[in-house]
Amino acid sequence: MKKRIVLVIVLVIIVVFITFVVCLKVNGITDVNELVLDDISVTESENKITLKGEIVSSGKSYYGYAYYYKNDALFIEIKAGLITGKHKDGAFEIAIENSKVSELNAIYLKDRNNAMMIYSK
Amino acid sequence: MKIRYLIRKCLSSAVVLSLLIMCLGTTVSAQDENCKKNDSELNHRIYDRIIDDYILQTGLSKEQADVIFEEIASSVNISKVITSIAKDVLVIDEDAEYSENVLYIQSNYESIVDKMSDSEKYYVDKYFLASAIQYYKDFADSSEFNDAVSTTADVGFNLVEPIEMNSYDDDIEVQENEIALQPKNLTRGTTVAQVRIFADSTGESSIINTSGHAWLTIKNVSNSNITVGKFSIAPNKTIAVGTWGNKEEHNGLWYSLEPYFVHNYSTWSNRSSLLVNIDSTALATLTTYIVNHDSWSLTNNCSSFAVGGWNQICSTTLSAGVINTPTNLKNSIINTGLSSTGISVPYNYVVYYADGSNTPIRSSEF
Repeated sequence: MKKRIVLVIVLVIIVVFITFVVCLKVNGITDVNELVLDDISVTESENKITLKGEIVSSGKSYYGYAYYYKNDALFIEIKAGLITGKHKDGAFEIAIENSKVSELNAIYLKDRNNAMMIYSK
Repeated sequence: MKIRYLIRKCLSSAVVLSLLIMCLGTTVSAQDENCKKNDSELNHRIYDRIIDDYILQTGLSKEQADVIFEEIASSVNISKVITSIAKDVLVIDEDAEYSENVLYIQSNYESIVDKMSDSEKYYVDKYFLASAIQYYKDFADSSEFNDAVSTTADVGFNLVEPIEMNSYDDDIEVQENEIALQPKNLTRGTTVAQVRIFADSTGESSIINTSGHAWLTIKNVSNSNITVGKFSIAPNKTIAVGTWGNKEEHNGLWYSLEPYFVHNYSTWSNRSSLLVNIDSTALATLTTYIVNHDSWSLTNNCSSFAVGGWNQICSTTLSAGVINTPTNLKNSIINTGLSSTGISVPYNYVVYYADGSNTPIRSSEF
């Protein structure tokens, strides 16, 4: 009985882990080496940052982005996944409006392991 | 008299009704038969396409693979086979989509089957094949397995030379430490072109890696213009061809887009490549292939295009996996032991995308 419970727990952990990793990959944060940036502009007076770029993996499309501030730097993560009817395009155009823009000294594109500086004051 | 009439009327109605039911039944069953036949033909076409990669990955013999395929194909519905075997394949997540599981198995096959008994491996192989076939059924374009692919390219007229770039490329024919492989034994005429296959991915440490890109470059090393796809390429110039699925202007074949990215953004810096020198017969084969492959789908992606073209002309054949990915193709290139890294991709021409049998269109975006 005890053995069976342990087995079930182990199986559940494996299933959760695999599902978690698969979910991350199917629609996850893109490696910065898969991104090229065409344009970046920081308008302090409007507290606005705009980014324009492209995913250079030919089978991935843009899904969205997330960002966070750490000290005086902004870190942007680009989310990409497999091409679907809803998500067909690898190009992205992002506009971030935030009152902290004027305090920024650097902006990075970030994935799980790397951060690539794309703007500094 | 009236009763007799009524009985006769009822009987004739019953006869007409049964005839109708029989006709309908025959039509439905004929349609059913047709569907089954079409489905079976599609299964065989998909199997024919993936068999070499499947054998390479699983280490099975052709006969062993055929047996597994027949077991799968004899079932009414492949998705039912997948569901029924899933519980016997200990390494997969029964609740996950089969498409996630097949990519997981492909990316981790060796570690999965390592230390498995023969019977356990058999279930993995069977699940792998069944779900790969289903993957192609679900994600391939309907035209991907049609017979109607022309065998000769219609490239004999309206050939134009693409607009040249003021590029800074090298004119070195074979770069340092680069080895030229033997062409496929078509004919052994004078070399007219150098073909390179490139693949790169980001080397994510994840279990499923769908990142990256793969493409071909063709350099004219003859003294006169050569035909590549729908273009006439000048001596000592190189053109790149690759397929893309995430570009707004066009889904399918692009010319010169890869050098655009390499030149402007230094992308794919860890690209691996192989080189083969080909004669005019092999070049004509490759051009036919290029012209006929203006398409992109999840199952017929950039790595499918690049590896398909390469395998038509080079004696060293490559594999992009059962489910084709740039990562698998890059591994296959490296595993030959003859690959080079970071070979230049000359940016000689501006970017175009294919337009069926017409002259390719100049990109307004790149």
